[in-house]
Amino acid sequence: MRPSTEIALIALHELVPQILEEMFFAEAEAIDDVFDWSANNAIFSRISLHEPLEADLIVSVPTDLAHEFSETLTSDIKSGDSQLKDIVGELLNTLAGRLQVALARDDEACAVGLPETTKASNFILDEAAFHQTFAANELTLGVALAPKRSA
Amino acid sequence: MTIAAATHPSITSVLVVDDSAFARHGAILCLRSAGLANAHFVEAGNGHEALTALKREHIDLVVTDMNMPEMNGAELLDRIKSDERVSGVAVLVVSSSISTAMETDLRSKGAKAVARKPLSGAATMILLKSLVEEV
Repeated sequence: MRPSTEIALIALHELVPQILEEMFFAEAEAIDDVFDWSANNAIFSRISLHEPLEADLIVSVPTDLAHEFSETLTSDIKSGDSQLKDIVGELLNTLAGRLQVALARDDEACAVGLPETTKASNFILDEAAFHQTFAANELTLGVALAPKRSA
Repeated sequence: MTIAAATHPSITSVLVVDDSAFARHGAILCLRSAGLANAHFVEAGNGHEALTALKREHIDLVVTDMNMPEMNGAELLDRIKSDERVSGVAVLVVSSSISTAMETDLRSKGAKAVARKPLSGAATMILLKSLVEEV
């Protein structure tokens, strides 16, 4: 039986802060605030989850926060858009893999696609998506689980 | 946690393979802290670039991501282990989506070790130090 989106979202409540701490030494937590998915100056990344959960995982990271993440490893250089997209894509890739492992039984395969990352304005989140806001370094980012785009 | 950078003389050259420059940079920092402070690091963005680098220069250790475009880490491992010119090179596979079954499979195909992404934290450091000592 495939895990449900609701169970995956509960797993993300723990995984997102854990991974932000491991990758960027950021203190993060799930919060009740509504995230503005249509805000300008944000980087969006989307990845297809194949096994055991079939869905798309999406993350939106405001560029200010992406710069803070970048500075944890490269404090001497101000990152450009391509570096910020690389960082957000890697964050999503790591999150997607760890989510699948958390949801899988021991003998089950875990598979994810490759992240597609863009810097976009007026992003429209799928109406059917489950989404959650996280606070990190006093800023916020959004994480969503949506039906597969190809489905 | 502060970890003193030691040096390991038998590993002089490490190939780090990941399509993310950020991940490659993080892996190199972690490996330097794990005993490879003086090693020469070569970077590749996918399996094809890695094979080209392996033909071009001497490499003691390959650290490869699994999930990459063009050629993924599992395919790269197969290509390395089936080429007698480079089959002796130690390979560490890194991924966020490694299940127990996948780890067993990668080890049976010749991976020296398998580590969870991101490469950070005390447990990862212990694994890397142990790997560096073994190679």
